[in-house]
Amino acid sequence: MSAMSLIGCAFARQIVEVCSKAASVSVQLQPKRSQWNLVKKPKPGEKGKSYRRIVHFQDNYTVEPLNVTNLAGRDPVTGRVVAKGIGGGIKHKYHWIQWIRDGPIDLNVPPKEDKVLAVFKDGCRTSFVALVGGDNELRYILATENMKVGDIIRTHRGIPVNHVRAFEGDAYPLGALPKGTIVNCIEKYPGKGGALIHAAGTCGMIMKSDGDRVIVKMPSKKEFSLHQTCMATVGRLSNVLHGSTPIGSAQKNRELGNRPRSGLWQRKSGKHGRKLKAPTPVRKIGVGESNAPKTEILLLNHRPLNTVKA
Amino acid sequence: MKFTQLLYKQHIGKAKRYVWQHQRERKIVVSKAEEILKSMNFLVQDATEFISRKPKTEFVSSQSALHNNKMIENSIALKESTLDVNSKNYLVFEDYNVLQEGVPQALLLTKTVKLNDKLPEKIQKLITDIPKNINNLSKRSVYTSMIYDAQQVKLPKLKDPDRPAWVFPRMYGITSTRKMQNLSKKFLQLCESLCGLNDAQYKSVIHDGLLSACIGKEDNFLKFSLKIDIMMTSSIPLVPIADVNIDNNFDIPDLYPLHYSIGLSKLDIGNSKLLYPITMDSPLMNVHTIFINHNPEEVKNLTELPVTEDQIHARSMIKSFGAAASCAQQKFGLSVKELPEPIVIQCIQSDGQNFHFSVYQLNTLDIDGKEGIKNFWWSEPSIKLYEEALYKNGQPCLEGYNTDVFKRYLAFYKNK
Repeated sequence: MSAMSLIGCAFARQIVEVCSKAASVSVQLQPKRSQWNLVKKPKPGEKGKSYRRIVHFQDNYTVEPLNVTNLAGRDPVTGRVVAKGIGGGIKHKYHWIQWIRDGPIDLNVPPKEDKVLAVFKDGCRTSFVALVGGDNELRYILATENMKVGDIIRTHRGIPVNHVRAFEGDAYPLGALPKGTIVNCIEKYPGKGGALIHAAGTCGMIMKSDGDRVIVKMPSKKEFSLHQTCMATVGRLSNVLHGSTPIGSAQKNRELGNRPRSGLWQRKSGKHGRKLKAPTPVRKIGVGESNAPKTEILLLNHRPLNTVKA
Repeated sequence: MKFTQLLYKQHIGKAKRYVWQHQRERKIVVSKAEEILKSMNFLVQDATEFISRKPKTEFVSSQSALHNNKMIENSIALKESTLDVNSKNYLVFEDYNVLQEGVPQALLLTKTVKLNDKLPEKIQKLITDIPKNINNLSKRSVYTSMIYDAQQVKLPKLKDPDRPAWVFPRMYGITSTRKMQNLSKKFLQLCESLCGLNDAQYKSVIHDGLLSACIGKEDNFLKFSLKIDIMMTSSIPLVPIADVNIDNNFDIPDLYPLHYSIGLSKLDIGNSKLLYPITMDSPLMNVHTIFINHNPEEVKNLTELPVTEDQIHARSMIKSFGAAASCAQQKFGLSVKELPEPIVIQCIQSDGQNFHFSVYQLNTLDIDGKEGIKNFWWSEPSIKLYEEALYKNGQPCLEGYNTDVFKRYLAFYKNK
């Protein structure tokens, strides 16, 4: 008797649950598929975003390889495809490069010395990565061409009267290095970390100094004028053969995370020669950039005007 | 559809929408009001921050109290260590850690000198040839633990660095941990039967014991929290091998420009209990030999770069040091520095195929600097037990069996 009443009770509750769902009314409403909504998509390449992956950074710097989420060309905010031709491939963990090379500023203090502990290939970038250690800290930097395990690299932030004699892998301010030095991983703004010249086998060259600024020739042959306290690593970046090595096969390209192309694009024949253009004037970085008035974008959202009903 | 004058006439709604969609984003030049107000010492707050502010809750203290009362299996907590949180750095070496610089760093960390690339002479004398029937018995143990064991679980995924996209079929079989534990137990049993009751009655075996020792070194506190897979204890401590004040030519290595604590992680000061698997008043409290497992899936570099053989040897040493140190703290009190009598510990590390034998003699727990009394370590290069042990064409096959491993097991067991 009691068992029957229990079963009846349970069934009754289930039926009630099925008929009147616990969720609120707004959740039950199905989105209309015939409706077009205005969605503003960002463009690839703006602010250096390629929509290839998100790296899950931690609060403090760590040498632990970080997990990534591959985006396949989608904008994580709207979920829409922004960049075509990205997707799939082998998932690699991200090695967090310490872009800031810190050292003593006082000229009487000898430069900080670090030891190269390992040089290895990283799946997320083209040049090799070096694990270096100094004192009780481990960090990753971009490996230069001839860097090998056991090398000692030096870092100093001071600018002496005479130029320093720098070796490959050392980091000094641009003002401390002599004319003609080959450099990579140059800071755009002092203290903000190396931002220029990261790709495999590339290097810049110090052309001349101009007061408290130094003019550096980029791999693109453009000349940038940077402040003399910007740090730069000496030498050419590793994996020099990367640029001259063909991908090899369509499958290899898929492994790299690129999707097949349409096949419509054809290279121009170049019959009439190259267009000669005047070199662009030297671009001063960090000068006159802060004078532009700050602007803020306000969005007016009126839903009926952002949708089209079929 | 292209928006033309004609369309405009027909559909004013579309026109409105078109204008709206192009004008909805308004760029506004930020005024200097905030700067001016700040210069006049007015407090400026972000409006959105002000709205989303929540009242603080007080659940934190009860949560952490729950966390502290966690059960500890396989071990006995000595006492709540009184770690002074603010004055020093706390560095921890966990079971799955390896030292970045391998043996030289381990030597520097524990103020130890490596005396030889061989085992001590006393143990070398005990390594003798074994008769054929015993050799067959030991070979049978290898068969039963490496091939005949009934465990069938998913083995780690295989990856070929040259073909990273290739997915290998998933293998099932016996895990390396299981292989190592099987073999250690079987070899120990065989040693017991060979040596008779006279030796065996003084010995006891503990499985999966947890150890935790905390030792001060210069400005840091080092905490070793380790798991010992099999720990053989005896009522008679091992006799010291070398004289404490021995004058030797071996030096503690220099790691410049690296610090001895490189790669060690900072301690999470949630659980800082000192642990030892046996109570102090037990007659069998002296550590005789520790058997530790090297599981390549768990023991990894912080950077996930491949673990070198040097780092594996360093792990043996750190484990021996941790075991010896916590044994010494049990015996002679927590504040002991120079030990009244050295503690000797034998260590066998294995991943099921490669075996590393070493002996550690703890003379002092005062590990500051490089001068004074040092600890001693003897270690051999790793040796392989076999080349291949698997089913081939449905038949069990053991290739390249090396008798040296069992000889060393027996010598370690016989050593007093």
